[in-house]
Amino acid sequence: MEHLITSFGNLFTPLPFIFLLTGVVVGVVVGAIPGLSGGMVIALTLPLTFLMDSTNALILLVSMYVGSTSGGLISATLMRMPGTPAAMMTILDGFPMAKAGKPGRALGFGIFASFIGGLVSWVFLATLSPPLAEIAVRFGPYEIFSMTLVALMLISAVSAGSMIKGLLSGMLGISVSMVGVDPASGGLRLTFDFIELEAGFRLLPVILGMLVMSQVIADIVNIAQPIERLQTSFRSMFMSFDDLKKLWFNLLRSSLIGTWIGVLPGIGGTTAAIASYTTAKNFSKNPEKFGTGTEDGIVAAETANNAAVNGALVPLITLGIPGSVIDVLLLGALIIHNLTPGPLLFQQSPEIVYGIIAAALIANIVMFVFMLAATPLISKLMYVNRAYLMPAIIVFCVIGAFSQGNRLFDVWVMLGFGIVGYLMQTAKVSTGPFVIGYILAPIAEVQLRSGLMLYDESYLPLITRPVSLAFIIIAFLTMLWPFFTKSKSRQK
Amino acid sequence: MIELDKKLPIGDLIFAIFMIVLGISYVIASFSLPPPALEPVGPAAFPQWVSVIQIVLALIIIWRALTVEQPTAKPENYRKRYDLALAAILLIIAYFGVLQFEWLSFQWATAGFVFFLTALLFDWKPRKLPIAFVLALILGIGLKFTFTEILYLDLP
Repeated sequence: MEHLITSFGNLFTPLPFIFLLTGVVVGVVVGAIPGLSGGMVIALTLPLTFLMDSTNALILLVSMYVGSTSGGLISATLMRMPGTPAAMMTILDGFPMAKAGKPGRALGFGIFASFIGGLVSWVFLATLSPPLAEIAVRFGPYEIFSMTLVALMLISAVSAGSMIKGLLSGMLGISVSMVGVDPASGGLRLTFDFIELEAGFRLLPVILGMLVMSQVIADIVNIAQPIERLQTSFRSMFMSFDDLKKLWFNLLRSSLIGTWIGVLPGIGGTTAAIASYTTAKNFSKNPEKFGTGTEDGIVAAETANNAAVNGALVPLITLGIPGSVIDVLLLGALIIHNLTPGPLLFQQSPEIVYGIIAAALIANIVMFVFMLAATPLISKLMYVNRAYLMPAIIVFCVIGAFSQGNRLFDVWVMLGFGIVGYLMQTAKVSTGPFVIGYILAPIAEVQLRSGLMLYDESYLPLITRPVSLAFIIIAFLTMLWPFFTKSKSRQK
Repeated sequence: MIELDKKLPIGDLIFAIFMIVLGISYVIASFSLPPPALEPVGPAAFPQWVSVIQIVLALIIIWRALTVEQPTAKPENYRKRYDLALAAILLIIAYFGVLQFEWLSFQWATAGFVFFLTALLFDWKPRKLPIAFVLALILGIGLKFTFTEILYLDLP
């Protein structure tokens, strides 16, 4: 509690607050522009944080995360294009409501729902994280290995499209992570006698290539895609008390769904929005109204995707396991700043952890105020021609890729991964599992091999230690779950 | 039974074949790694396990691509600009080459790249060229100044 109060106090000093404000504003604007996403802007910002104080760097990045998740609703509502993937479900009711002449109402409901989702999930983030970290700090290598295994399984199981393709994407990420120095013995491996590969494929070139360059190439291919625009006023953006009375249960339920799905490693806001929207529809007295511009649909989707942001921060700060692709980037930020992600972070750098928790709340409040005030202006900005943005994004990618190791080789690596990422997109292979596999695999390998050293070369503790066994069972069930649901839907 | 006249998902096949080639090369490379010293796994085991799993998964994708009926893709209501993307990639390669061989300094190489790419993306419309020129100067000189003089980061 003491640390949290100190962190709140720190946030209201000039520099951290400027970073928070910048993060939210940039995040909302970027989130609103289709083709740019929170992941892209955070990846591009990472190299800029090299010389920043670690707490300020994390405040900036977390604020961008909150802002970009919320900003996606503006383009989803006004252009029928999700600014961020998490706003996908908002289109279903947001756009029809806006088209029916009520864009202000649609956006107002979305902004308020995002705010409530963020608030409710923050309570869980602040109260669950410290005790969870206290338990997790007692975990040995096998517990951490089996937990990482669950994360890897979940990612593939819920990846968009085919599960096999998701798994294969994760395997490619794991393969890429293994090049260079063997994390357990320190020897070289899989370098194919290339001196440049001895340092392995570094984090920033890989992430910038996979997430940003691939999207730039896709945007150039789709540059002629027509965009639907709505020209309307933004009156009545505020919810009335009657609206609140009608929707409070949906707000609460969607917040809980979003938080819970966010907590599950590797899933993130898009799945949270889908689950929450489907639940709201199934429980509604008027399910036929969903998809035609109902408030319930907007509220369910937007509450859940924002709640997932704070939910996903729980495994990140307590266990060092990313809850979504953007969390992988935050994990990368911790590594770049020489911090060890995981339960020890609470003990070793409490100012960082509580800084993240405090920033998540204040960024949510700032996002609410900023979006209510500036949405009409942002809605004009989002029609900016992407041809102006792409050259700048590529140059930032070059600087980012180069800056981690001061090698031009990394810039070529970034381009290579950009092309691979684009080809994966065209083959409908999600790049999310790749990124998460790339980050998690070294953790899994090091922990398994440490466990073998610790337990006299025995694998048995993997199933004799209760926590490890529980995680192994969960991993196994997660692997089987998609097959089970598929066969059930076939029977129907 | 494989129907030869049905449309094959080429993207799936290329991805799967790439993964198989990668897996095989990892397995071969891992044989030259030293044996385990401190624990029974060693540096070679993980690459081998992962490669075997990825080869099996890639074979499943190939099998599916050849046997399972693929849903027909919805036609787009606009022209996909693969030509533009290819030209942009070639321009990016030229930009990286200029930086690699130090033919131009960062700011001028960047300014040139930004100008040509912006002009290319606007199909060389004459009224967009002045904007491309200004954007090129701002990004080239502005970024060089910001990163080296304010943020103290090295640039290529």
